Amino acid sequence: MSEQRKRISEALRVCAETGVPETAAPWPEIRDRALAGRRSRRRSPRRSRFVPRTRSGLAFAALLVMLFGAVGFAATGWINELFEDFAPEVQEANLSVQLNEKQTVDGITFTLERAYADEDNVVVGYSIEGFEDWSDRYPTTGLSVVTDGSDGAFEYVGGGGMGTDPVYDTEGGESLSDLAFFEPSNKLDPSAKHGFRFELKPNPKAERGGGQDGSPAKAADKTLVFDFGIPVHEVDVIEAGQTVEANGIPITLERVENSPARTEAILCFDPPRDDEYTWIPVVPRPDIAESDVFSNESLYGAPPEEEIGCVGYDLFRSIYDEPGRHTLTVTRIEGRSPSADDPRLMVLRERIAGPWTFEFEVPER
Amino acid sequence: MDEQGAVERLKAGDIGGLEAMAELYYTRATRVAYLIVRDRALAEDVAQGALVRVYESIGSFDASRPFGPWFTKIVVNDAIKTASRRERTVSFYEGNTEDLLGRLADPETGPHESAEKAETSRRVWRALEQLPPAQRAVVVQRYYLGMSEAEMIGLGASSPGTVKSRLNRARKSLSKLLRPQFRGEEDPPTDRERPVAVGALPDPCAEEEIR
Repeated sequence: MSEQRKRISEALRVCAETGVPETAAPWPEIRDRALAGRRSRRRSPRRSRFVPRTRSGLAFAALLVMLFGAVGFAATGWINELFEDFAPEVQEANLSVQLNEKQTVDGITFTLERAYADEDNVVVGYSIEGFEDWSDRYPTTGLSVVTDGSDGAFEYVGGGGMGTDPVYDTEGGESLSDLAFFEPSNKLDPSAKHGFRFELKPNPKAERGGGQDGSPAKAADKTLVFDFGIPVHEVDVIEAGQTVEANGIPITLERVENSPARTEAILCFDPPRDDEYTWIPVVPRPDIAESDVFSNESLYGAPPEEEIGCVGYDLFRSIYDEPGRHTLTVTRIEGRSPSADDPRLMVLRERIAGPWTFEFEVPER
Repeated sequence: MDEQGAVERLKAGDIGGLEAMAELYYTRATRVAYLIVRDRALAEDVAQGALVRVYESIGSFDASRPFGPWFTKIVVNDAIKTASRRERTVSFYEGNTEDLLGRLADPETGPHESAEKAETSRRVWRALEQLPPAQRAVVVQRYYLGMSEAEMIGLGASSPGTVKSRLNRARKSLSKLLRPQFRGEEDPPTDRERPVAVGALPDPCAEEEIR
């Protein structure tokens, strides 16, 4: 084992043991979650995947590969996987539009594969093929842009190498597929066709940190432009207006905005000692994977700019197509303030326990 | 109860088997998740959720194989998803990083071995933060869990090409991020690097830009 590897291993051990001391498993909580899951598990629509298991299925897959080419088939497959993982309701309802617009720069093919839009979201799936070695940089600058000719801006909220790791497939050629998520500053009007422009900036060979030989970094010199038209789907707004008080603090679930791409809950409250901290409600997942309504993670919201004292939560997945009653429980609120060392860092200062439990109804469609 | 006995009980639908597994694996699973999601509460949630999934899907587990790698795959995958989702949507993410850095520097709570070890840990922790979650996960598998590349591929969570590619990129990124302290014999300096005299290193925490 090299000295460097030893030191990294040892450092990780120290971080893990310092961050998480030896602790007994919280068995009652685990047991309750396990049993609750078993009781409440219901048949959820499984994602359809084409996984050939029979000889005829394999023959069909082989035919598809021959027809569309191995690499193209792989890339499209990845886009479907990404939609399944990050926008499953869009995928299941087949709401994204196949575009398949290609542009080639320096032998590298950039393909706008699929896109989806609703009043609050634009999701663009693209792939990049034909590159050689991307081991230390992304093939794009990470700056992808959506516009629609209006004054409204589209905030880039994920994908493209930020947060989510792009999917690489090095078998049968180097390729990369990614979803880029955007939020319009103004709600889009539902329509059968809305014009968008997607811009992608390729990353020249020496873009990141200069060339291997120490030469200066080159600026990206070309922006790829894809114009496309797709429907804008409606978003359901469920007005909840429900206030619950715990520990002397009332919190209101104002509404739930429910689209195939994303379900967002808007919670509003008067933060305690609001001159000291920024207070954020924390919403852990109420049940387990097979019947999850919200998340297997704690959710932290970001305050919508237009609503002072309110916090919007992207739930772990959309419940657009899940009519019936749903619950949302805030287990605690956390007060944070900037670090003295680095004001960009928000440091946890105080926790106040709840719970605040809300109910709302997703209507049948 | 040993691991095999716990698996048998779980397969028979006895939740007591899960309690035994929780005793055996909870801390380790939480630590693995913590290195990926970088938040203790989230890491505990991932570890608990992974145990619940064990209870639900034990039917698909081949009892002739070791339980640990199968469980690790669940923990790592859930941690990647949790971290990816969180880093895509969350604005308030850094508090617990600060917490750990403070504890590492505190003689009461930090590593007792040496100040150098604490400093190295701080640097690695900050470097890890700059990797995307999936790359972070391969670093944790490789360096914290000590898995070989073949073992990582054997988990079947990603294609061999993806594992190799992520590991390669993670190694290169780490190597760059940890310079100059970690410059090793296998990683010669380049012309682009600023020369720093030994013993005159600036404060690494102040030097590094962490978002």
